[in-house]
Amino acid sequence: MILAVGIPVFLGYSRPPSRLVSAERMYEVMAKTEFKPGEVAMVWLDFGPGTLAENQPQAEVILEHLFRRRVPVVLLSQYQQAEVALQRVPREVAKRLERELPDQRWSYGEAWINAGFRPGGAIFIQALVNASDISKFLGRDVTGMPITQYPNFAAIGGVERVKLVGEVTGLTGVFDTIIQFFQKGGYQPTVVHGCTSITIPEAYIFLDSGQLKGLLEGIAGAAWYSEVLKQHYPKSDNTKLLVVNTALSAAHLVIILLIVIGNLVPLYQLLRQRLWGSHG
Amino acid sequence: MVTINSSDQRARLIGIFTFLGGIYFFLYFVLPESAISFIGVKDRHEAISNGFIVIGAMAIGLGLFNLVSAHGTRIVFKKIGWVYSLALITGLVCMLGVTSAQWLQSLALSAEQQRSQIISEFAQRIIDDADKTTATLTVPALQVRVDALKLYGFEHLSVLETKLLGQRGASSLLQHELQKNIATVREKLAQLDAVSWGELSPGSATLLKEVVTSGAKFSVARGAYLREAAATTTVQQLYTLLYEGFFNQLGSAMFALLGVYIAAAAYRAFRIRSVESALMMAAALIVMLGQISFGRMISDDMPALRQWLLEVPNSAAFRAIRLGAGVAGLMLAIRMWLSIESRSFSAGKKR
Repeated sequence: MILAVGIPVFLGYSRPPSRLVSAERMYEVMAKTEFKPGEVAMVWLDFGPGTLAENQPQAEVILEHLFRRRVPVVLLSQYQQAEVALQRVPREVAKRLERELPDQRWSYGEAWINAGFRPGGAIFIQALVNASDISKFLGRDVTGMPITQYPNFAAIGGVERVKLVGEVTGLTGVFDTIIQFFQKGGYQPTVVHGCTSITIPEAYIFLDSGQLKGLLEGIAGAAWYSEVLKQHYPKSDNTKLLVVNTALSAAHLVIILLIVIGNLVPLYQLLRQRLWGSHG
Repeated sequence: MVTINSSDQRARLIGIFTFLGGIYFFLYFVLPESAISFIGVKDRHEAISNGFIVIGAMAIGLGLFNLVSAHGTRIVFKKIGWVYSLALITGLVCMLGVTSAQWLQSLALSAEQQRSQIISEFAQRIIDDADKTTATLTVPALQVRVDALKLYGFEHLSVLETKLLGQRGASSLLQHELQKNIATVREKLAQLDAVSWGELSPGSATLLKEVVTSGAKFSVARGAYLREAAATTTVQQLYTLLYEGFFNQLGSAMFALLGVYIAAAAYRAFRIRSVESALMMAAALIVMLGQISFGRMISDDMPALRQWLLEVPNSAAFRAIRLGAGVAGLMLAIRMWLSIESRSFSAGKKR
């Protein structure tokens, strides 16, 4: 297993990812969602160190797309261990874009703000949705600055001005609160979701019913999304993501191989017993 | 016969408060918005919700007390495994201490940043107050307020520039950015001298809005500068070591162990013993092969087959599971709301 994961990582070997239709649909949704001046996207990064490997690339591709479109993003989390992700992910994406496009800037306070960890789960979301002005409701960001002081986020207004909601998580139950409570009479946002491989089957029922407009299925979803992004923005760099996806794919192959061997070995033993037993 | 004693009274009191807490959210959810507004709860909902969140946060304190109590007893009486309890308490104390110190440091940084925010906040306040009628407002005259803004602004910027000369720790890029913002704010404040401040005209309002915008950028730059300078302090480095160095990496390592268990389980436990398990195994293999990069080496249709499996049979099955779980969860929630599940609080004895 170590060799299967380590060889692609150390050699930098990557293969094209599998085509995932849900990631393609998500790209179309995110590309076509209209944002008028003052409208924002709200992205929840509800993951910690345990699911960082799958969720961080998902958060990066979502933020990269929104940053390229110059959509102001409000980042927050229901999970207290998401602090590192909330700080690190947007900075790294901004730095990567600035390296690619040196004449452009993505700075904190203009491209994104970090509203931090907000406790309360469903209670907080319900209160957020019913607030008359989200900027005032959220109060201050993690730096202590009033959110109303940032020009792009000064007057968000009611939740109707949040046109896109992204939820990136591997935790069970967290995504459900977004689907259930992030809506009110006459308003339903466009919801996109990045999940770990283990929660894919659960997320599909929402994708099928239309409550979810786009889904990144584990790191494979993030890898295919990055390929689609690359088709539209050729200078986008997704090498590292493809290498990690290839390493994970190799690990899956090892598990499949172990399952096959684990089933063949007893079968072989049974057959041998019968054959030798009949000749013995 | 059931005897009623103080424990039953306690259970009754807990039941009443549980019911009241639940009924509020239940009614808020089911009643139409017009009814909620009529009662007058809509404007207070945010404050009530915050109150509930605070009460929930009290559970952290209870948990802490419980933890110290349980493990402290083990350490004091040297029960079996007391060394592990000592390790836990030591880690707890260390993390609490360092996090508290880091929190106090960040409070100080925020206070420092807020001094810079005053420029933009005050300018915004002057604009906002000008929209209100003077009959309802008891504030100094516009000229006096603008003069106070300029005085504070210039003084603060001068003090800051002097401090910047002697300060180290933040990168030169951030320092340059901050100096640029200081220059911009100074320029915008100086422009306020160009107009008279008898009353707020569109032109003078525009000048104040420029102070607001440049002041906001300045305080963001100052905040970034302060945080980067603080990153080299002992407290912050200790916090980074414990949180990002130990806690996050150990958390990732714990989850990485699952990979080893899955590999072992793949060989030993995932055995086909019946038709149903064969079907499940085939579905699992198709889904895995459809998701990984190597699946297309077997067939180009692998991803499409996987998609069908997830969209049709899986969705059907999962919907049924979720419906059942949802109904069960609803029943459990109603039982908890009505305190039918709270037998542990009740010590009533039956004869």
